[in-house]
Amino acid sequence: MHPTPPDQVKPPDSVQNPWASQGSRRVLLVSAEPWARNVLSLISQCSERHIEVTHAIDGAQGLYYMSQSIYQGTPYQLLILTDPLSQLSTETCIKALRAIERGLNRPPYPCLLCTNDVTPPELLARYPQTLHLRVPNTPQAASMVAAGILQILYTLQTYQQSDEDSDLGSKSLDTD
Amino acid sequence: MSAVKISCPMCGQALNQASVEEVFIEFSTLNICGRCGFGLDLRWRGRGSALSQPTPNLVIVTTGDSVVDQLNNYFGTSLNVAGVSEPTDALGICAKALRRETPLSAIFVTIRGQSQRWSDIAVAVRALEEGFKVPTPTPLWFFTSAIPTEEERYIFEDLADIYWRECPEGKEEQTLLEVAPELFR
Repeated sequence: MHPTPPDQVKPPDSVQNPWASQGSRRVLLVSAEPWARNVLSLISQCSERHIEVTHAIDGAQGLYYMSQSIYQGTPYQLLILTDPLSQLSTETCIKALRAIERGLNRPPYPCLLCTNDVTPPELLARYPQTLHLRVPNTPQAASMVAAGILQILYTLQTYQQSDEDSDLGSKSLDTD
Repeated sequence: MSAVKISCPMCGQALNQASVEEVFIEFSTLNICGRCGFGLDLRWRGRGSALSQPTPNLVIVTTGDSVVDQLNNYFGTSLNVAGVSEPTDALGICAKALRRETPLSAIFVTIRGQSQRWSDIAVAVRALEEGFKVPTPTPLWFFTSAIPTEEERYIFEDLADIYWRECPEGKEEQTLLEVAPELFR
């Protein structure tokens, strides 16, 4: 047997970029934190530019981008809010967004709320599709937020891919 | 194809055929985690529909139904008035009206939500309108005995068609009932 030369060895599936197969993904980051730019940079590096991040610096701008995406029918896969925000607070942003979705009879946007506090149980109970990530008040929060974004997007993408495959007659979700 | 093991991002429930539920929203199907209800397949289909009931012309944010009933009686069929008890709920009606290209004639606000500022509803409505590319903003009237803070005044200065009507405490709805017919004469 002749082993394949190292430069011709294909990387295993687990090493290939998981974001390349699904085309571009869009997320909206609403953050006034000085480390928000680090999140953009980390996401860009980790996804090899397959995830497009729009950055809004206050709540009003965030709600504007969300409304625009609803109007144009060009969705963001995930909304990320960091606390605190000027103009509109994170809670008001989520409230407003959920009210707009109810008015338009839309399924709710997935939201990731990043705060330095413990999980706000009332908020999560009242507003569906909202996840909470506790992050420190330091620049290290950038890597946690970026990891959270990638984790959620990857999970949803994997589920959707599995679901599509099952629609085609080859169910790939674990059936245990 | 090998099985893919994934868990719900909300509750960590392992996702398999038995743990995923399908719900129907108008013409769309949404797959959710059977344990916590987190939506797993949120691919958008269109821009959202605004069917069912017609949208009103005027929205009043108030805790009392009587002011809405009185205005509906006064205007009859010429103006449809709806009431909501939370300022952000007015946004939903506003979005629905914009989606149907029948914008609201005005929004009247007599109360604000807990931990909200008076300016929040105005900022949110204007952000929504900008996102929907609406050329003419909906007039927003505040009927309140409260005094806006410096910060709120500063925010209002940047927004068009915001009207602040100071009223004696407890007379907000009465003042609204006096002013509304004048505005839509």
